[in-house]
Amino acid sequence: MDLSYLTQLLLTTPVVPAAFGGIVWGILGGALPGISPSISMALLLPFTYGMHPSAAVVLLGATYFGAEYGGSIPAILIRTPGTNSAAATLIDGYAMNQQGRAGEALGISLMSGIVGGTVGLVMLVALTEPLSQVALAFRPSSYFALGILGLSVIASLAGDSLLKGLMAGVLGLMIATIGSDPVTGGGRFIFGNADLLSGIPPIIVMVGLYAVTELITDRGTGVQERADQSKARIVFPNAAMWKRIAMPQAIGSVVGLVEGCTPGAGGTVAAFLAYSEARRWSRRKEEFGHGSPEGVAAPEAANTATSKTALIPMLSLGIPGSNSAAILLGGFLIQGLIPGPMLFVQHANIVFDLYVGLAVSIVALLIVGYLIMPPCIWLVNRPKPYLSAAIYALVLSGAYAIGNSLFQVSLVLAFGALGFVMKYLRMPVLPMVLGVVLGFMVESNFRRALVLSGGDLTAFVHDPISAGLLSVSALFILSSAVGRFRKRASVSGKVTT
Amino acid sequence: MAERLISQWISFGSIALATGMAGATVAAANAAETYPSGVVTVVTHSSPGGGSDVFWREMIPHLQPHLGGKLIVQNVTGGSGAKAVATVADATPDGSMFYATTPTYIYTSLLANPTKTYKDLEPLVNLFYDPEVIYTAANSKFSDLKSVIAEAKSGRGKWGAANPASLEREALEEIKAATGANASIVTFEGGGDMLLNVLNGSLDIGVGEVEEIRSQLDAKKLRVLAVIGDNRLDLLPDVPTAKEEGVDVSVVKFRGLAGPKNLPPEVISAWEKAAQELVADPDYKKIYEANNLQPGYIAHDRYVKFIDDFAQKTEGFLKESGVVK
Amino acid sequence: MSRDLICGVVMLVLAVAYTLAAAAIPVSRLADSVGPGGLPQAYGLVLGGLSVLLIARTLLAGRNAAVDGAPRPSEAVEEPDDAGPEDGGRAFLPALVMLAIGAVYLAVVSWVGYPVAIALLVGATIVFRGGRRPAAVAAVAVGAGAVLWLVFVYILQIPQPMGVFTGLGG
Repeated sequence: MDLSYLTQLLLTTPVVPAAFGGIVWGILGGALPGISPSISMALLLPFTYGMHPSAAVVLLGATYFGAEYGGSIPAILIRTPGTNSAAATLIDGYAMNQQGRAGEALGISLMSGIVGGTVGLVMLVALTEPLSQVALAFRPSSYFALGILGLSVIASLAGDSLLKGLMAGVLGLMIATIGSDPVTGGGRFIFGNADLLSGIPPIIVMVGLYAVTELITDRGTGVQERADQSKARIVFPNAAMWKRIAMPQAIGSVVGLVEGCTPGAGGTVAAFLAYSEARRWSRRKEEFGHGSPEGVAAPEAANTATSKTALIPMLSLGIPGSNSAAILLGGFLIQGLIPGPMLFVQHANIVFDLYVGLAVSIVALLIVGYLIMPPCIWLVNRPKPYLSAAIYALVLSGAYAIGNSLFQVSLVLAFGALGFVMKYLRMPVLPMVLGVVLGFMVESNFRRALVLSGGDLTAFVHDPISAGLLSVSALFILSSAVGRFRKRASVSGKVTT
Repeated sequence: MAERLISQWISFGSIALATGMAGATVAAANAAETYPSGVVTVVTHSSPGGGSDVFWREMIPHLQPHLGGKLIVQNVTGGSGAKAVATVADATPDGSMFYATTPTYIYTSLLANPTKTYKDLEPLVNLFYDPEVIYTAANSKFSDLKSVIAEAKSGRGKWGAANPASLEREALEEIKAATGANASIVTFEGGGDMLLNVLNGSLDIGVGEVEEIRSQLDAKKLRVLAVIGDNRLDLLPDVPTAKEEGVDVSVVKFRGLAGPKNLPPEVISAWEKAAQELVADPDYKKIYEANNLQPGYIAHDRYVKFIDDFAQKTEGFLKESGVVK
Repeated sequence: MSRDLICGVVMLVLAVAYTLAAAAIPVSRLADSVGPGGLPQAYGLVLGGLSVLLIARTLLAGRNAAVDGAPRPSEAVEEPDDAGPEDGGRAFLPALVMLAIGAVYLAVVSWVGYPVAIALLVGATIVFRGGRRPAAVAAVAVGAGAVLWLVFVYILQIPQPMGVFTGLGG
């Protein structure tokens, strides 16, 4: 693949327009709640039948990237996660918005997306072969331990009451048990409703708990009014800010790398794990949840990195690392290309073209991401009644798109009501979201590992990855328990003196 | 085709491309004359890019000349196929709308008790079979199916099926029952997860469609031990069937069409004619053979019975194992 | 009753109901040693246990507070992340009205069609949230119906229920 091939590729094939088109489409789809990255990509699939093979796969790859980024825009601006993974960005992104720092949050999110995407792409290009071994190293016991690591954060994220945080987490795990059983395939808690057979999609829970709850909460001249004061333009991070978000971006990129390489986890788990790890390693923990730039940078870097690294097992093993990578795999099949070990032998040029196209898409994200910001900010600065109405309409329309079913729309409303009640009871929402995101992964892999070992619980110790992750989780839970105890002791000490 | 290759990895809800819906209603009005006079919609529960979707979209250019009319694919995903079944069951039986059948719709009907089940559809014709095979990692110690069974009898076997309640699971349970082997059957959320666990040696064997593992086979990372069907495969002539290995188990993954109840006779005969021509079409034959599909034309009368038998066998299996009451 | 107490009681009831439902999941021959009801029952028990702890802590803290006026530990340690809605009907009523608007949308969308239902939803929400200029409200409602129909049904090809407008792509 010499330089002349590259010039020829960029100039004579529609790879560059495909990269830009994919980014624009992806941001649009990602920004609409309910239109997930995979749905955005699937919508394009039928049009790729007659397309130049390289352009087709680049279009889908760029859409994936754009959508993972696009989800953060409504998350920051209107507290509506456009995608599952954006729900992690929402926590601090929207808090920054409430403080009138929306432009700054958007700038950090865009830049972290660029950083995550670049790191992911470099890993994809340079280390596909060795990294595909990571996928092979993960066994059901390892996935279980990864899920537990994610859940272990609840102990430190729980907010004002550890008890209520844990309760919310368990509630989330319960929601994740609805649907067909991972081992027998029989329905659980579905009450004869076929819409529930495949479970409640996490995005429904998140849109309900975050967006609808906010919509129905009457804040008078509250939050969204304050958004008016936010600068009507995107603010890129300065040197000091870069220094601060470098670490969370690195954490996010690494988490995104691991999650992308291990099928089944995907961008959502990556974003939430990155968020909690960034918090764990941050020097300013207390700012998390109250508008920490680090809380925006880490999940954004993670999910955009995943959008590249999920292609590692997809290309090298034929096994997609996420739902969206599965759609991209479909795009390859449509072109008569079968991803897997032989792809690099038989169609090395397509792989090369895809890499080039993904590199172009990073540039495209920077340009498009910058240009679309002013209209987005203008839109959310409309008078509050009109904005609320538009968000409500958008949320209910998007909810229908998730399952082509009004039942899903009613679920979104129900979770909105639940979020409101939880707020009233001062129960934190985040542990519940974590439970919903990780519940299925934890349960199915726990049971799979036990079936494999013949019911022997030591399987989790014999698998080195599982043993490592579980001990780290135990350590974190212990240290946060000790921290809580100390804090309480010092406070009650003050009270008595 | 690798039905499961994608559709089951995709857990997101659904998308439907309603292109031509308006056309379909127009077609309904004229259907009485010469069939097909307008748009014929094939509804699949597979999402765009999924197994059934790719299969149908690839087939349609070849089917079109034999059938006439204007064929389009519509994706109605969600509810593990229940939605697509309901859409077609409620359509007018004038030959303007059909459901692309796979064993999935039988399983969903039995597992979820949706309002519309396979009983609300009338099977039209079958077109192809997807052969199911048993495979192992290239470096595993197993040389044939017999050695896998022997291992499971002396100790404990670890076998993988792509999905919890599926044709593959049923096949493995039947093998277990037929041989008295002691095997743990591990189920996954689709073929990919399972494939990884075969490759890294967590599982002794996995069962799936040839198409799903083609790339790994070409790269010599996997070996096929047996075909769970009545005949050997043209592509793998040296691989014996399970029956030849002394295990009397055979399953068929079918791909055909079903419509609303009371299909008019002229619609049925038009499809029977087109389906036979399609399977014999030399151009298309090259494509489907490359995709490891076996021609499996079944005429309408026999297909109704075929689906009924399949459903009864599946129901028996699910009831006997206590998954459904 | 304090919010913690309500929370504990509600969750306890939920935990009991869920555990009973989990215990009723039929065990099949395809099941593993844990079984389909295994983890759900464990979750139910954990939630039940946590609820009892919360109830006990609240009751104890309430008695202590009554006796020696000490602050309740849960509130003394940390500020709540997000101060919840205020007590009483003042907070619940608007939320219920907003939810009712959504419920009405759900109920009518299959009949009047997606664009009209969305326009109604938008109009009702604006008016309820304090939009006062009828012309502007009507214009935005109709505009939102048209734009969202264009985006979701026409561009994204999502077959929203179209009711009487079935010809428009539903």
